[in-house]
Amino acid sequence: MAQAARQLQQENNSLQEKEGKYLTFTLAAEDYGLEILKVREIIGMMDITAVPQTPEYVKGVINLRGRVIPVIDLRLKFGLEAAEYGERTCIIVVEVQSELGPVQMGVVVDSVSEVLNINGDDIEPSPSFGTKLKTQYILGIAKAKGSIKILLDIDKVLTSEEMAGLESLGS
Amino acid sequence: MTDQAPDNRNLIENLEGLALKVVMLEEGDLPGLGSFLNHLETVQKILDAETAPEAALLVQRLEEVGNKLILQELASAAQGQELLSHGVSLLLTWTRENKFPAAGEAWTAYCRLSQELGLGGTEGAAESPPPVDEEAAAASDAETIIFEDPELTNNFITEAREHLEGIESGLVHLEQAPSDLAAINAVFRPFHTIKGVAGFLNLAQIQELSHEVESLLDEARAGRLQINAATIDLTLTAVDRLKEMLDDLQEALADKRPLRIFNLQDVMDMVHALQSGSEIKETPKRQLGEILVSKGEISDSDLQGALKQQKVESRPPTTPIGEILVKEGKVTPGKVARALVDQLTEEKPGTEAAAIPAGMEGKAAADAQVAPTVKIDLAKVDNLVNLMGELVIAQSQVRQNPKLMGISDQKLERDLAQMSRITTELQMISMSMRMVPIGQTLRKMVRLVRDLARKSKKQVELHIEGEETEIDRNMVEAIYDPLVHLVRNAVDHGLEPPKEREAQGKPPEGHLWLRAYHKGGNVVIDIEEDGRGLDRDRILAKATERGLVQPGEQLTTTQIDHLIFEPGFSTAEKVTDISGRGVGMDVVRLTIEKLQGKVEIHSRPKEGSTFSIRLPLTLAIIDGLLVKVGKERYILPAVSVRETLRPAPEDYFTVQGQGEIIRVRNQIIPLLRLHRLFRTENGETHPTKGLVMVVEYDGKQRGLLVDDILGKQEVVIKSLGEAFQNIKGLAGGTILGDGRVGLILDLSGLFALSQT
Repeated sequence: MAQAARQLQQENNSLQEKEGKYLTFTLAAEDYGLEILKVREIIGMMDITAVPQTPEYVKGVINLRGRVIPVIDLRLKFGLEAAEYGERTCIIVVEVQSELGPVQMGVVVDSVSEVLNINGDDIEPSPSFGTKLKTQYILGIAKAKGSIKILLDIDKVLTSEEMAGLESLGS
Repeated sequence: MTDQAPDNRNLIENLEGLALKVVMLEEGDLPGLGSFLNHLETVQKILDAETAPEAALLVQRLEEVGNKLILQELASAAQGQELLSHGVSLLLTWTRENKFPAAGEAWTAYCRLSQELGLGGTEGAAESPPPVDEEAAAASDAETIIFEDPELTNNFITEAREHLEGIESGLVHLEQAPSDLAAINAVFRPFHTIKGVAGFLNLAQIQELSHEVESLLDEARAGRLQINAATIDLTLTAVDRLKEMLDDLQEALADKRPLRIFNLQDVMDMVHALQSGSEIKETPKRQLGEILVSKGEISDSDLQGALKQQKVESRPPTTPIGEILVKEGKVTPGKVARALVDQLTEEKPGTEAAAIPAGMEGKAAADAQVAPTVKIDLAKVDNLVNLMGELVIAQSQVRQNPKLMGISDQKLERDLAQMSRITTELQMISMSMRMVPIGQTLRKMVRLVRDLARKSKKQVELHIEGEETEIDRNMVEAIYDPLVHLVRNAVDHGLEPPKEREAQGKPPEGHLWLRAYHKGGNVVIDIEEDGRGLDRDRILAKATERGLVQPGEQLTTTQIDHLIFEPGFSTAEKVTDISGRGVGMDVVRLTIEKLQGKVEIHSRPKEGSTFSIRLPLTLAIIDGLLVKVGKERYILPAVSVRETLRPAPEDYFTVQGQGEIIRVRNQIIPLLRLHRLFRTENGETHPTKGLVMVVEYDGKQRGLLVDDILGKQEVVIKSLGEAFQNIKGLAGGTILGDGRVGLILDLSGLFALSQT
């Protein structure tokens, strides 16, 4: 009993820590948020050079002011239906932590919505959806403005292993 | 012991100034000593004798030591200075912690030294505070300082490492010319510096060890100790130990953990053993009295009188003549001091300069060449190089702007041309900032060769040429391992033992040349020895045994030589400690090829072998051919392209409907389709319509089918990031003229891909 209470307390604490500002964006009909501190910039769609032998969701690389950074399509990554890139399609450049230090990457999203301040009290842990849906990328579910936002743990979404580990598929 | 601190901040500032002066003190530097003493007086005024009696006493003692140093009354000036620096660091520690007196390393060392010097040893013992845990005290001192100022400590680590490398190569030189004073000095000085700074940073163990070695070398400098193999070995051991300590220091700094305590007893014992065995040889010096007489400060009769007095007072004479003269009022202390300076400076031309006339010229020339430098964070340079590349591209975009090109204005033309000249030059300069001389890497081999030669009981003379050859900094580290391997092989397999050499009519000592030079836009490093040469019969036998060569196959000598690069190939009869484990040569070749380079072998039986490593000047730029495959564009390193052709239909064949080959003159070359390997869309389907580029890698040729060649250009290689670093067939990316990313092909990966 006491243990369960402590666990609840711990969960609460970690949810409290997730309080803060989030950049929200849409993918298909879903709303997502990612920690504003991870975002470096938001750029419009640009030419992407495809990189062979990578999974489909890795769109390739772009030239970000002289640096070559990888770009992934979040729709494809999450198994959503692919969409044509349009006027509102954006690349959010994020800085993620890798084993070798911070790395910049771009994620393609349907559109960027706004920056929201989310209270710790409004965040709930991600429910389990069984085996068919992996929730390891999700920090939590936030209730805001009458709808819900899926808060992403972008470090986990964009691990190098995720991108390179599937390289064997290609060869 | 009191809480009432005597004007603490002011005191600390003064003490720090004092500590700096001690560190900067050179032996026989009387003006320096003088300014030290002046400074000490300031400190003495601040220090209240009542609130900090111990400290005041210590200052007094330091003053005495300083005076004695000036009057040259100490048996060893180096030890006197040591004592000063210990004393000052002790004062600093006390003042910083506001605790008088603190126990610990410094105090103990101070007392020990002062006893050795015969400076009121009994007093020292009486004053000595109860010895608390020495190590703990030393460690905590060190930590506070190194963690307070990590930058300073990091600088120290870098510099000390450089010094140690210098010592290593100096030692090897010294071994060949044991009595060369310049060589001894070249080894002595870095130890002195390390000791000084380590003392300043309170790194007790590093200071202790370097001090021991320094004093040993000091004996050699004074001619009291002959440099021999044992001295050199010992010094090298100490160098290794210091390296370990520096590694530990660096880790400790990173992890914010306490320093490891090293056991130095063995090294210390060896030093003492050598020192006690040293013979005492008087160095010829002009007597102080003579100098004073010749300067007209005293008359000859004064001197005779003083000398008599000296003999009367003690036997053998211990009271310095200078002191007697001062006591008798014949001369002022200042004049004695000046005469002592003369004595010291006279001493130099007598001994040092005579021994190093040849070296001096070179050194002076080298000094003149050294331009002032600044240290810059490598990341900044990389950033600059990147941005410069961008600027060049942006500039070419502007120039190619159709609207701008429509304007026919001469001034605009001229200005644009001027701008492009400047950007190109800027790019060259920023690139060159990343270039460093290869010398340091080559010099690292000096120690290696020496150790290898000893282990394998061979005599090896190493010649290093072209140390100033510049190479991209990022490449320096990458070539180190292959270089070590080739040098090992040269000593272990290439060179014969002395007896075998003599039997062949060669001089017993083998020669190993490390040569670096620029040739045709490449950096070439030759590793050449005059050993036995490659044993082609044995290589062939081994290769046949391993199934690398079919029995009866005809191979050229070059082909046979290059068999040693095959994986798992080793012909060493026995596995030695040094090499011959059968790994390596293939790794060497692979590493070099990854750097867009090549290794070549030229071997002459019984005369020796040369391994040539050919590397591009920089990893940052390659000469590339931009090719189009479907809707993608790729860059192919121009260096590996042999020819480009469009095969006639009768020169194109398929094998079992799958494999494709083309015939180029009389050669059969397998054909690779990039779009198939990379699964891109809409590549040109038929070789007779597209272009075939014949590329060579690793001695193998392949035809690459592409749609078209778009141009030839120099491209700046950029990493694709860790996510894509393992993708086969890609060496990196670059920014093309239109701002998009282009992918650079890696042939080794492509060839490997085509075989799966």
